[in-house]
Amino acid sequence: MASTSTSTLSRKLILKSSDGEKFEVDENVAMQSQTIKHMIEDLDDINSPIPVSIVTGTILSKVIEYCKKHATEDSDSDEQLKQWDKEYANNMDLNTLYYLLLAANYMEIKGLLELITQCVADMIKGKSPEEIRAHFNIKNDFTPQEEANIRNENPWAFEN
Amino acid sequence: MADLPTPLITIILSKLPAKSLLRFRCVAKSWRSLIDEQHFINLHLKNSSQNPTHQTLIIKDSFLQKDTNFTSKDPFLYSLDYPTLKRATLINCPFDCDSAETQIVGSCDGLLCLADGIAAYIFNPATRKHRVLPVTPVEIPGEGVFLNGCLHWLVVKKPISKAVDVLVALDIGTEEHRVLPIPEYNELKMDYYSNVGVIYGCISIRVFYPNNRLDVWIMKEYGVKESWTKWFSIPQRENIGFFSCLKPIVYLKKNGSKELLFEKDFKEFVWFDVKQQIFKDVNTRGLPWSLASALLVESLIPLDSPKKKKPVNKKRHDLDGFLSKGFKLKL
Repeated sequence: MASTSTSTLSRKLILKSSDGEKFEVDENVAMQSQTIKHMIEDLDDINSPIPVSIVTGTILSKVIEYCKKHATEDSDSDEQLKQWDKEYANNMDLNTLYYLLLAANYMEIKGLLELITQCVADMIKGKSPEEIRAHFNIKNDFTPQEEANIRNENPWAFEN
Repeated sequence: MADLPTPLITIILSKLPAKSLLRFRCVAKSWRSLIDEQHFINLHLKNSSQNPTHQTLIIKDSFLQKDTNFTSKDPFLYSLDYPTLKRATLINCPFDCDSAETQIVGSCDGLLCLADGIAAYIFNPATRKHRVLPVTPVEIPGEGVFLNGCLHWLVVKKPISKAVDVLVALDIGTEEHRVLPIPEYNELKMDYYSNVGVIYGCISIRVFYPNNRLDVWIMKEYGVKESWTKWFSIPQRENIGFFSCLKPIVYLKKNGSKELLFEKDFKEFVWFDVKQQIFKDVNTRGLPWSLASALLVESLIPLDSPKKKKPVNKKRHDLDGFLSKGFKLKL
């Protein structure tokens, strides 16, 4: 490649989503992802696009938004960052959260994984077992009698 | 939300309150197995201990006494929502004990130890399960404080006239004890009362000099004498009024503030803002007139009885029989 820009501060990487969308990001932004970090280490040519195979462009743009915010640590206090995280997560619908969760897991972005799992936990903590099954697409494999027995072990947990 | 891989489900569930998890055990067989697993229970405990909303203040009514109008069956335990401290609600104790005699002996990992002089009870308020233990014939020097696998007591070395406190740690695993260093707080030749506790994961000693002040010391590095630091000193009357007992309960960092919760005069709670050095009153509804308290993290640690042959009767003659069969609880 012709590019000779080697300054670590301004090094750019290109991330390519599963549906072919390309994102140019600063190296320190992309390095928030352990997966990408490891990929770069093994890569001879960092100028070619790095495939993020299971993440779509829509989701990848959200992931990058998070990584950009967390790559610039100097400007915000911990409290401001927490507030930003909260608003970021609250603006997602359940479907987006789900794909974001898979992306954070695949890309190994610890902070994002922590944020989204906590957000999902907060959303489901008051739900009934029926609602949980619908949410997570889980089949009830207990017989009615077995389920009744489990409920009877802690009947108070089913009260409000 | 479509299918999630099990590792992600595990992380999400480990951040839930205990009550939700007990409910979600009937979602599917895979969820029940996951929630009942020891590994998961430990992970959940670890997360809960870092999440203030998964902690509860357990309050014991200390006003109940023999020869008053109370019966020994009166409810005596309350739970208080933390960190909001809005309202104390009665806990229905699933076991039979003498309310007036029962003391909180200690707590760790979401388990509360109560004793009424006849038996000891291990109680998990989050699962409402309990276990009855026979009283140990070994004399113990009062309530022990649990940290790093050891119980700690602050005891006085005899002769009493030259009172010197000794901090003793008893390792529960190896049953070996050792003496830990303490700060030099008795050099002032003033009368004092000292107590040991755990604050922010550190051993702490509070020293009360009557009519003068309360000093709170913490040992930042376990077992290291040089790491003992006087955290702060609260003068009597200055900004809290007169007090006869201030017991630090828990240290909370939130929204940039650092606050310490105190139990004051066995009656109420006050927040102490560590930065600004000011006290803030807490208005809690439903507190008993006189109380003792312990902060408990929510946990799913099981307390199933080892055998379910016959219920353990806690009457004294039965207890003797129980002990004579060679069952002795060692501390």
